[in-house]
Amino acid sequence: MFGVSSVSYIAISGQVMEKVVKEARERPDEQVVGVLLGGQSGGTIVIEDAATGAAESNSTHATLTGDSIAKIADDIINKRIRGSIVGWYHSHVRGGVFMSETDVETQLKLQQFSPLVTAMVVDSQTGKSGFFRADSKTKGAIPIPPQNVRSEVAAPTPVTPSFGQAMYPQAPPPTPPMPVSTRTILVAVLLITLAVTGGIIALAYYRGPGTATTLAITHTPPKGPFRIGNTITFDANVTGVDLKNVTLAYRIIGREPTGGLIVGDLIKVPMLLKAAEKDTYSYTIPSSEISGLYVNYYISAFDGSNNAVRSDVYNLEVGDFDWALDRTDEQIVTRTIAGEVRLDLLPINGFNLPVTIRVGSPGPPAGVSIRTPSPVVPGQEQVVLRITATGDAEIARRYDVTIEAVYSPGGAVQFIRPITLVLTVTDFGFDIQPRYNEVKPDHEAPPYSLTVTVHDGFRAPNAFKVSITGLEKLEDKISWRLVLVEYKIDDQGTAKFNYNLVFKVESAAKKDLYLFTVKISAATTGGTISHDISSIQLKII
Amino acid sequence: MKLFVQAPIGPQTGLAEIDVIPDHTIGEIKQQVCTSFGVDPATVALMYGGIILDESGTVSKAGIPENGQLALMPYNIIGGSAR
Repeated sequence: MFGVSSVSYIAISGQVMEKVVKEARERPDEQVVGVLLGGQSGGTIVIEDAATGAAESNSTHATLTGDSIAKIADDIINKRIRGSIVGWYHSHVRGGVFMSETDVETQLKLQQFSPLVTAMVVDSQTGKSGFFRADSKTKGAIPIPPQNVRSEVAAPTPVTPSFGQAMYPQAPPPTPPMPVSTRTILVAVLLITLAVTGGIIALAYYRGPGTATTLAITHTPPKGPFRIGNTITFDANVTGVDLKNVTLAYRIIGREPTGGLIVGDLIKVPMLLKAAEKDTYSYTIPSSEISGLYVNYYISAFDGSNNAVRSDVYNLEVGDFDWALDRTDEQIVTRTIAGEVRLDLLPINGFNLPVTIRVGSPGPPAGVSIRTPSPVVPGQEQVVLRITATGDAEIARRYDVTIEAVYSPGGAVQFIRPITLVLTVTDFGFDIQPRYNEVKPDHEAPPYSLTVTVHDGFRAPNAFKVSITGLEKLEDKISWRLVLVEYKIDDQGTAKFNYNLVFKVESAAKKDLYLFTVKISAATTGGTISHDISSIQLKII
Repeated sequence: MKLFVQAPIGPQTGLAEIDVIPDHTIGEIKQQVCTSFGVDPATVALMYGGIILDESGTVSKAGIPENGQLALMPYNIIGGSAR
């Protein structure tokens, strides 16, 4: 009764794979059995956990009892465990990885509910495993090719707390970059800071090629705080016989989006004698060149005999701002439901001036608007973007939107820090065909076909609810039923449910015209969304 | 009274809303929801609160409250290795 499914990819978390194989290998003399829990992401069934309970086991059979299944069902309904049953597992003590007749029978029993459920078989001697489905017509097993099965180690804590599709990679499966945990980033930053400090110390102990010389530099680093948009002036008192030139060598050390450091080119500029002050040389770095994290510099002086002297190397902290390390944030936007995205701005070196948030280019897809907050003070606030999509907004899958944080110190100068927001605009659609049917008594009306199209990213944790008004007016000679006939998902992640609404009219039914309204609703994050179709007609002739 | 029946098997799970009277038996309800879900009644059971419901018992005897959430699940899951 189900259509052929195109979902043939499986992603199983490394921990679950390990857990199931370990359970099988620890009991080499009897079979183990349990269920696989998870969800679906596009064309991939994602297995996130495994559960078991009391089972009757020997070397050739294992039965997970009804009571164990009832407990697991209760845990799912009451959300004590995440996701739903997407498969089952059991081990074979002998014979290796294959599907026995009993296994196919069990698999078909589960496939009645969904054709996407899979069977995982583990050889308890070798730890090898395989995934299968079954063909209801031939009663044969359908192995899922090993290249369609991925086992991967997930991040220790999922970034998204709710169970949702966007968390998972899409099929076909190129190995996605694993999310970097916060701990890794902190360690990386710490190591880089140490490395930079080390580099600066090394430079500080280096002195120029000069030998005995009368050259001398007296320099006090300028006093901060410094920040982007300001100039920095360096003064040095330089004395010596036959002094040729005084040079400021500086570079900007910035921060990469990933947390690494960008070390700018070393720029050497001549420092000029301040006419009014004897022996004082000076240079001002223009504001357009100043940015965080640091200005790293030293001053050197040369005389006519090729003697040189160099100051210590200094590091000035420059106040700046940027988005927190994670530069992309995926966000699902459901049409007609307002959503919020929270992004973290990161103040660098004590920066505390207002920053304006605006939508850059590319902007959001048609029908989607993003409201940005009034100027924010980095370090004090999260940036909250309010995203709304009209009912006509374009369904868009992974649409990149640039959000910019802008600091304007005055004049035409602007400092812009962009971040990419990945939006998925989603909804579900609903149609009924035909809208009118007529039927004679003692007949069944041709079915009304209800099609629910669920676009990628749409989350309805409590499933879809079909409610039909008008049925209460039917006389008792007319009965109805609603049957799920098909469930399909394409490789774009769009799911289609097909229900048939069938009316059966007994012989004594009166001639009449009935009107129905069919409403499909789903509770999703931020509110309930519903679509209805009214004036569905059934005429008894 | 209104009850919900969920079959948490498969990535997208169905939820059926049914109207029953307290004197309906669990067996009668099972027949009805099996038609909606398109599953063979012989292979499944209705469950509530972590236990399998007795099919000859009534809704009131089973102690299911208004808006109670039942689960429709297989009686058991059996793995075998006899070829």
